[in-house]
Amino acid sequence: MTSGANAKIALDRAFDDLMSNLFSRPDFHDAVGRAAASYVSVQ
Amino acid sequence: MNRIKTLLALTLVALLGSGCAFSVDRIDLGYIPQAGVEQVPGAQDITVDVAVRDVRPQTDRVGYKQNGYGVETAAIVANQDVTTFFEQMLEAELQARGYRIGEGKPAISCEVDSFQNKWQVGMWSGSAIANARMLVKIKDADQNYIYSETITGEGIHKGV
Repeated sequence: MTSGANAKIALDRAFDDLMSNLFSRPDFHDAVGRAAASYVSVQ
Repeated sequence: MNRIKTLLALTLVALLGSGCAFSVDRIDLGYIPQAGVEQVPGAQDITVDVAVRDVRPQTDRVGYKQNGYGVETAAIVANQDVTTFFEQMLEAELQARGYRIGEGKPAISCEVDSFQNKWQVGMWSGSAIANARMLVKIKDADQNYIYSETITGEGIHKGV
């Protein structure tokens, strides 16, 4: 119950879920691309 | 005699507890980048700037220890700076998909508002439940937000 090691394991799994959730989203990459394109057109 | 035994037992419990449950514990944060990711078409032409802010209510800990009554007894602290850690995770994943990292546009901002471990006490054993949440935003050249999403992750380690 008091182990920090178990907290670390649980946090590691949270990171994995967090990152796969973000980077598997096509809308995220679409937004990065559109934002980048908008800056190019301004210059 | 019974009183003496009870006193002895209580003293033992207190001594055992003070050596573990009442001392601050430190953990190393770790992240293994996702394997086998695909390059995003056009990403090689985009340089992104990643900025992370740690907006958690308590930034001095990532968890806590508790006793058998569920009372918090000591903090669990990360050895790494949480802001830097998130920046490195995000940059590693973006680079793996072909993006370049640097002072460029667009800027991807990320606010970490939850990143902690909690204990759930069961009859015979407990679980470590970690929760991480970040708000990711992207602005276009006109400073309009074109992406704003809250991304969450949960990790559970049973049988503690």
